Amino acid sequence: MLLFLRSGVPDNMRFQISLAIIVLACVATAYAQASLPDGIIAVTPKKAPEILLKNMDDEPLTGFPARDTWTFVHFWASWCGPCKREMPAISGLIKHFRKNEIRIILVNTSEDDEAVFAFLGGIDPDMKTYMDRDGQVTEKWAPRGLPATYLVDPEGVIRYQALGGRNWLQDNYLEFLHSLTRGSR
Amino acid sequence: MVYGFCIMTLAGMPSSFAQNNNRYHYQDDRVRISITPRTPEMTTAFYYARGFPAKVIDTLKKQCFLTITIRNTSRDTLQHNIGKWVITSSGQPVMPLTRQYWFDWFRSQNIPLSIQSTFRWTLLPDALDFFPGEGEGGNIILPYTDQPFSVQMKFKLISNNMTQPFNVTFPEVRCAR
Repeated sequence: MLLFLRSGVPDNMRFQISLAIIVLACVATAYAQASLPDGIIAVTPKKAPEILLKNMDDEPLTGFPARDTWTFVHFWASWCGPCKREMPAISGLIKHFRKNEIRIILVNTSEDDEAVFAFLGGIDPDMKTYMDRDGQVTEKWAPRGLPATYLVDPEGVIRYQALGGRNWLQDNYLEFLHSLTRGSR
Repeated sequence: MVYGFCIMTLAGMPSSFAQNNNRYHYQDDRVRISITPRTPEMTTAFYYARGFPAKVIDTLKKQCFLTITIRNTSRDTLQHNIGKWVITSSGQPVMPLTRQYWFDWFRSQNIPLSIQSTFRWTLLPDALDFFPGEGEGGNIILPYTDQPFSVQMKFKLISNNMTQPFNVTFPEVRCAR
């Protein structure tokens, strides 16, 4: 670009080419947003807050952000209706990405073991969630509501957010998630 | 029987409104809103099931709980801010018991953080820019009154640096008892 600006290209042509580049960049950005599945928004990149939590088996979360892959961070609570409807799809997503192409982290907001065991046991006894027992980690992430899903890139930067709940096993959402792992976004 | 119809104080877009079983609804091509007043029994059951202490429930169930859902039905950003709502009863302002009010009250009662956090998640967000199609819900809490009251919600639609303010008013809402 600098070479082009310093070259001997006439001013009027230089202006036209610059304008074309800017327009193309705008179109590409708009297309990237428009091509996102319903309810997925590209957010202003922001470093993901820490998740210093343990799961139901008292195991601490390690290796976040994942560095070698994208991370799907999902905040939920058993009393939240849309969370209940979405959780079977999240269970399916965990099975779909069992080779860890995307790391999936569940964070329960402010509930105790009893409520969480009872809820997850009825959906998928193999599912594990990290326990934000006092809700303070969730506060730092400041989701717009529950459920809330963030997609964090391998640099630990939040790039996308999902608004509300959805069936993640639909083709358009799976294709979107796979596009992240392919690095095509 | 009081019919809770909505008054559009600006613009004449096609709209629909309804009230049934003490639930209030409004919809047009910008926003869809529902208001559901909760009885003390419902409030008690909801928070009891979430492990709230009896002293908290005793206080909460004496208030007027309104569960409100708002969905942006437009293609623009819908800006919402509870602080700009106008709630009146018999011409007098009714002040909602705000998130800050409850934060201070919970702290004064030494209520565990987990309970405080869950409680905050059950409240309607104070302010939010709704993306197209986005919906959120939650409670607002008023001091109980057996008198009807009006709820004027003020919104803004924002697109391409253009701002279009509009109001939706539910003129006769009642607390559930």
